[in-house]
Amino acid sequence: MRIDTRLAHEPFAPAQELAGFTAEGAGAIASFTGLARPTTKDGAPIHRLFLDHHSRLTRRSLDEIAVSAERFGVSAVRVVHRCGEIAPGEAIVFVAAAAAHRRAAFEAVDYLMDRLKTDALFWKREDGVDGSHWIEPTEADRADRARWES
Amino acid sequence: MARIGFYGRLAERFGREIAVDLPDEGCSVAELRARFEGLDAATIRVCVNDEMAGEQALVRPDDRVDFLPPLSGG
Repeated sequence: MRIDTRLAHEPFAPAQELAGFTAEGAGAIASFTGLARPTTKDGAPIHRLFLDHHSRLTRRSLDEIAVSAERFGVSAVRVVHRCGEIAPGEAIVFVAAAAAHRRAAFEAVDYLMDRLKTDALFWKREDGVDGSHWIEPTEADRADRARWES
Repeated sequence: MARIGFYGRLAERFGREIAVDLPDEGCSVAELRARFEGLDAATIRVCVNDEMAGEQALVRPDDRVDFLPPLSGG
């Protein structure tokens, strides 16, 4: 399996990431792009997100999560994750997986996103009109992550 | 001096990195944690020299320790 992970300190173009993601012999490529939302879950405007990270361990966590997608039999995986200050509408995360058939590619991307939400070493802060708030995983995030443990 | 790293909301409280004096024989993670208010062992994990560490792990004076609050990526 080919693994390609990147910690992006500047804005990146998801379409470009997808265009550059090729896997010889693959029959399916699935991808997901996560964007910075313009409002909190309560509807208050957000000026920006800030994603804190660890200079070594965050990269390592991205690699470990990407490698673990091997269980789906995918032939290639790409993970790009932003850090630092992120404006509403900018991409936070891009994930792509290539496989012989669509189900494996879909499942690998779904799995990778659930893992990234709870296991990648990032700390997310929303800066808005109501002040700044650090975001922590919700029960829903943990339940999503737990789906893959069986 | 051991270097202690903090992230997320912890970095706002304690600073990104501080140096602390430890006895020559070192101390446990639990003892180091107790020096800082609010570092709940149930939710805040610890790395010693870039490896996850338990509460009884030894921290030596030249080690690097990172306190990691709950994660929120993606």
